[in-house]
Amino acid sequence: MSKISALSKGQKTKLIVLAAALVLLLAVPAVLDLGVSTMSILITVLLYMYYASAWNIMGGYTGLFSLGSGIYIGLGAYITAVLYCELGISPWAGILISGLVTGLLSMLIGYPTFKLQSIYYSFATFAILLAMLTVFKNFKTVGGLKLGGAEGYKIPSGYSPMNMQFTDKLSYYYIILALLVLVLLASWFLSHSRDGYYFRAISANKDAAASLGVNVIGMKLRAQFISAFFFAVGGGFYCMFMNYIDPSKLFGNDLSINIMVMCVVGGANTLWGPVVGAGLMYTVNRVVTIYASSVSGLANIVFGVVLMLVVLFMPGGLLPFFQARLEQRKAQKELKGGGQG
Amino acid sequence: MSFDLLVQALIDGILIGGVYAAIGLGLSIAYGVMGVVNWAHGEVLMVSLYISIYLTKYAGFDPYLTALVNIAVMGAAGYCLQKAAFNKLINRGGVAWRDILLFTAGMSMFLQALFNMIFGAEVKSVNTRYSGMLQLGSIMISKPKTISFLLAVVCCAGLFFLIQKTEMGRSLRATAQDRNTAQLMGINANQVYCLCFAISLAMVGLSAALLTPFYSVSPYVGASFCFKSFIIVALGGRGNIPGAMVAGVLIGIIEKFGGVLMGDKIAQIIIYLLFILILLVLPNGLMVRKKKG
Amino acid sequence: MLTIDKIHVNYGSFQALDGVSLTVNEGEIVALLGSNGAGKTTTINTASGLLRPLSGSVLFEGQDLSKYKLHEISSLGLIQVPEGRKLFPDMTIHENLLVGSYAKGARARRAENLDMCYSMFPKLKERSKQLAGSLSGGERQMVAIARALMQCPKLLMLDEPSLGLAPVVVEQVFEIIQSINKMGTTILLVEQNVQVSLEIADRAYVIETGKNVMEGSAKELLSNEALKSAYLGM
Repeated sequence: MSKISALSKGQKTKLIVLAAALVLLLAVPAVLDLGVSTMSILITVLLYMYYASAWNIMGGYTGLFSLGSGIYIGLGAYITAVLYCELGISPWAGILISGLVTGLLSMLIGYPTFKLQSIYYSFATFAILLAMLTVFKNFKTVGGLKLGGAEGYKIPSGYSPMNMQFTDKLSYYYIILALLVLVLLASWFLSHSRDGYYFRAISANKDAAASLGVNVIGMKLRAQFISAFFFAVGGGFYCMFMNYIDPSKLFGNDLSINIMVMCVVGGANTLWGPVVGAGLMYTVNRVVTIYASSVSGLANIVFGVVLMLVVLFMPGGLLPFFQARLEQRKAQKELKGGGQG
Repeated sequence: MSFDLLVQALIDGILIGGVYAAIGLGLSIAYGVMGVVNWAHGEVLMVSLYISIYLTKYAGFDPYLTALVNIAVMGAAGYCLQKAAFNKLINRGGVAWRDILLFTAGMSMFLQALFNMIFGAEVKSVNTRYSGMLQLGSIMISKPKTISFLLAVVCCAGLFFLIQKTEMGRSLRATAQDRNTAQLMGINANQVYCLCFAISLAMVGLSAALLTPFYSVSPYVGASFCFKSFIIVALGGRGNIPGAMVAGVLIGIIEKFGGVLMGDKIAQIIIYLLFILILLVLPNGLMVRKKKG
Repeated sequence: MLTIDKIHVNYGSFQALDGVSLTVNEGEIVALLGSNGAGKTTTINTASGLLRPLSGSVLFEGQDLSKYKLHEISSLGLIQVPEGRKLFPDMTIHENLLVGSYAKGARARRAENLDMCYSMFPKLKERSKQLAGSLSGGERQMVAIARALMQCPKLLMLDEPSLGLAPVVVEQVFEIIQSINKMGTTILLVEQNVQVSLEIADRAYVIETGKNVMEGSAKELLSNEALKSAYLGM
């Protein structure tokens, strides 16, 4: 309790707002019946916010500009699904296992690619993603497992809470909400911890960081593991939510690029930036799809333009840009107030 | 597997590889001189292809002559893009290549969606008077592909000459090697960059014209060309023109050869893996620098 | 000819120059001396336009250089031979010289300047097709000076020409600098090698941690023992 009273007024306000928001998010869908499509939208938005925040840990904080988030999402999905369908392992454990396995795999991928120049690292992740897409889309059997190829992998649906199978959307909503809170907490802890300090040092200038004694490769592996873990868990959640895995979607370049864009447009290297970015972009997508459905692809046109404008005029993302503007206005007000006082 | 089939694949691969080289060269120059990674490189090709095909189909242009239009249009577009956007991003400090990658990713999304909206997703192509095959024994060599190959080689060589022997080429190389010192010599680096990107996109526009007689376009053709161009840059070495030419032909050969031997899908995977391998093992591409001294 | 007046230059939050001033008159050889990190290179880079001062001014032949873009300054005749020579490594000696004469005015006189350079540095003529990156330190310094001469300098600023060179080569380089001066080019010399610099200079300035600490004629400074040990580590 003493820690809380030691916080400044601004920080207390923030905490109260956050708490209130959490309460609303928890209560409203339980109390009101929002309907299936609305719930689907909410779940999808939260999922994108989750993905964007996961990307932020490796891409935003540490500067590992990965274009292949889908690698880990897809792997997580397939591992969870196979563990459940072939071995009967409950997805609650399955997502954790897939998270760990994918995390370890990511370190295997990361180790040789880290020494590449940053640009080539991004390309390598993209190449691996495309390779996975080609494999999972074109081969019905991978590693002895029947995975369905382009037709996708179906998970039998039903009601089985022990196996993360629900008939209503509300339960899935709470799961993804919990996951989002988890990843945000992890981001917050990391950014305020010594690890986070190292991540940032590496992102700013990895040679300087190395000369100061930072274990660059070790830290990168750590960041990569954490992000991949979260991605895989998300993928596992997604496959249980949809009861179906479409490799073209999960390993497709659209998803991976969109995740990266959402994080960067909102504000990489900030806690809420990815959330803002994902929320905004998804909202735009929905609005455009609903009101201009006759014009196909308008959403992407808008995205493209928004992305170009943000990069050109708001480096650092939307959130930092508007925060800076607010600070400016506050400072100006204080100046004025002080002059008159 | 018949020997003839393999030779056929080899020849096909070389022929298309020449055009791949020209396309990849555009990216290599932009990256070599300025470090610009143009994620929309493939979409520039897509737009140019639409221009070429439509001019040929509806305005009676000779497909190869549309190259002149494309060069002018894409060259101008490249100059303006560099001036209005990329120079700003480069001079701003911070991680320029990331910003440019993001910006061009946005461009790519925008262009794909725009052309999908305008032209629809169906594939479009045009029949030109450049068609038919030459026959060498039991091997069929496509006439238009041969013409395109030869033109591509000529243009790449021409670009090489431009870069190595002319005043402008020297200013480009100087700026690429040491931007500040080049400016001390009186070279306007920003303008050099604009010219460089104009050349980059002009090469793509030219290549589109070369593809017109035997290729079809849809809003989404860009992606595979873009990726092949990245591989060519990695294989050939940044800014290395002969390297890019060799790399382009190599990619073409692997693609066709692989397609015949193992099926297209596996050939694709091999190309991706090859790409990753090259990145890890040969950071300077295949052309190892001549020993100094 | 060149007037640097109380310039303040920062690298980020680090104050590199705190009000440095110096003047170079036509025909002179002026030396700018100081220990490592004193701000000599920063001063020259500000004069040539690579850096912009926060306050203060740089005037060349009466022109305020802040009104010119970086790539325009060399056409005024203010030429820098950068620290470490900064040749274009993947170009031949000949190409480096050609780039040196890229600017309009220099290009017009390219042929005669090439002749002059090659007769001044006959070794370079033999190796004109060799890549600059493969030359020895002394050869590189010659190329750097030759390249600067191709730019038709009125005032030539040399940043640590003796760096990394054997004493014999240093002597050659300084002889060349002297003969360039006799041909009519004003010289501003930034150096750590105090002895050789003061031997050919007319006047000298000493700066320390971004501030002027001493100036005078070369003779005065050469004979001032206290000065030499205090600021110049001799």
